[in-house]
Amino acid sequence: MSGTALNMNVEKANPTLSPKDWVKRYADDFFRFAMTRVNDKIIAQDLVQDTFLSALQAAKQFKGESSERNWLMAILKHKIIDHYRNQGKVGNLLSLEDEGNFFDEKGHWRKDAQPQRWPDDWQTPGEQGEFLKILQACIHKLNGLGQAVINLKYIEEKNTKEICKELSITASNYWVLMHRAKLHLRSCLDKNWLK
Amino acid sequence: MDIRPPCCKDATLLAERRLQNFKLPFWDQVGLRVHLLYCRYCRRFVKQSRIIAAAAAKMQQHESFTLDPAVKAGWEAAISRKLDQ
Repeated sequence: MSGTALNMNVEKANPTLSPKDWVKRYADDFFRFAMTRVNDKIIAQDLVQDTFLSALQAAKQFKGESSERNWLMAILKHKIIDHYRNQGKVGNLLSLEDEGNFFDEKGHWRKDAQPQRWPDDWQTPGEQGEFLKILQACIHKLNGLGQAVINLKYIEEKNTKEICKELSITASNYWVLMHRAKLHLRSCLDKNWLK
Repeated sequence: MDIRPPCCKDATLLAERRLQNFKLPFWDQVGLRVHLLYCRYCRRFVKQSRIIAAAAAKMQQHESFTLDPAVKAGWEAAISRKLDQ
């Protein structure tokens, strides 16, 4: 009994990290986490690797206020947000131009963007497999934040508040991104699934 | 107050919010309904957006997100090197 108490005290005073076990303990989970957010194997790997290396450098700042896992996870989340930000600078993610591909200046559908009728049989077994495959490919074509909102909403089933917090965006950013993602996905399915 | 029904761009955005169970302000709700009455493209958008949502939820992570063991070995080596420095 007293042994356990002593250990706990020691742990509190000297929070320890065990970097040698990080890869074994966390790499797979962190990679999966990053993949659902950036959808790119190479980028996800880089983010996880960066997380481990930055964590090593910052090891002195680890005070043991959270578990080793949560501490590393917080670093990974920051890396992911930085990644979106950098991408945003290049691709100007939240510019309004994007909707211009779909709507004219009065806000009406452009002729070549008008939604086409979809067959009712998309849910029949053969057709559904094809539909999902194309949808997956279309999701991959979205930009980083677009993919992130779709994946977090539908695959991880998070609510709007959680998604905004995780991606550091406002609620109105969220709706713009979600709306735009749906416009792109729908049009991508029109082009690639309806032949 | 502008009581004209929203344009397609605004209507699809409102529809997206409603699809995700957000209660729209009363006049937006009315505007969206009126718009959908006469705009078949937006009706299609709404229907198809719902299909996309259902399909995406079903998709889960059907890709296996597994790491290459060689990558992991490389990371372990990099960490050890840093620790030995």
